[in-house]
Amino acid sequence: MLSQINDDNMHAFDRKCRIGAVKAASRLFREDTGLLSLNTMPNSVYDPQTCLLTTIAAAEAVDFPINRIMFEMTEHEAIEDLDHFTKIVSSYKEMGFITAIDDFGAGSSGLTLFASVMPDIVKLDARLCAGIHKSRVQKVVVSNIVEMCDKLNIRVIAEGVEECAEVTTLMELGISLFQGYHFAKPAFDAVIGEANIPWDSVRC
Amino acid sequence: MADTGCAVVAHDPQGCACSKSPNVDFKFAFQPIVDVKAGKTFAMKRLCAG
Repeated sequence: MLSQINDDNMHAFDRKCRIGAVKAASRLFREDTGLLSLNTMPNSVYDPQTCLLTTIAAAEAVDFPINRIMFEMTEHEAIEDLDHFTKIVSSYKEMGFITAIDDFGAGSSGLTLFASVMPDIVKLDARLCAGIHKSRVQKVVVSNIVEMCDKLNIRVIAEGVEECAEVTTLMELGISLFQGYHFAKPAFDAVIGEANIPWDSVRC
Repeated sequence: MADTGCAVVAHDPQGCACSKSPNVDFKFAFQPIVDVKAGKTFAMKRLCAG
């Protein structure tokens, strides 16, 4: 199947995947507060209303509110065309989606991006989190990002967290949202769920 | 991703999808984003694999 994907059908393929993900997500949560997080590339979107019609329709079909769909965008996208990036992100927000800057700290436009986009969520680049308990510099950088986000009412997610010591340090710096192997490895929707996270053992 | 059983990985322009094998229904890989303070799953990330 994948060998049949080309430049002409790639977007249709992506759309179908996104719809499938929304349907799968509607079965994943025991509580009705969890978000579905999807990658997106604003630079490939020219008309968000049209582009997201099928996603919105899929969400409505399975009663999954669009304000529980989070679109993650990387800094690299913003570097290419910040004005367009900002416009598309604003459209997403106006439509009710949650917006997140992925890999924050990995690119060079971080603060400009911050000021322009004002996302709902910032995901710290995994390289800022890895080994943070051993690095004073990483602690200072992350601490200041967290403080800045607090002031702007932006939530922070630490990515790529694999060690207890990293979790402890990041929590001391004010972070409570985590993604990484320490908590859960990726799995197919049929086997994943809140019940699979061993909360007692992941607490540090 | 090897430990998820995802044998085939596609990188598409706006995200990623996984399939155990070609010509079967897609099965999506997810990774939880947890809220440690609340002790619950904050989000499910559809994974970019590879």
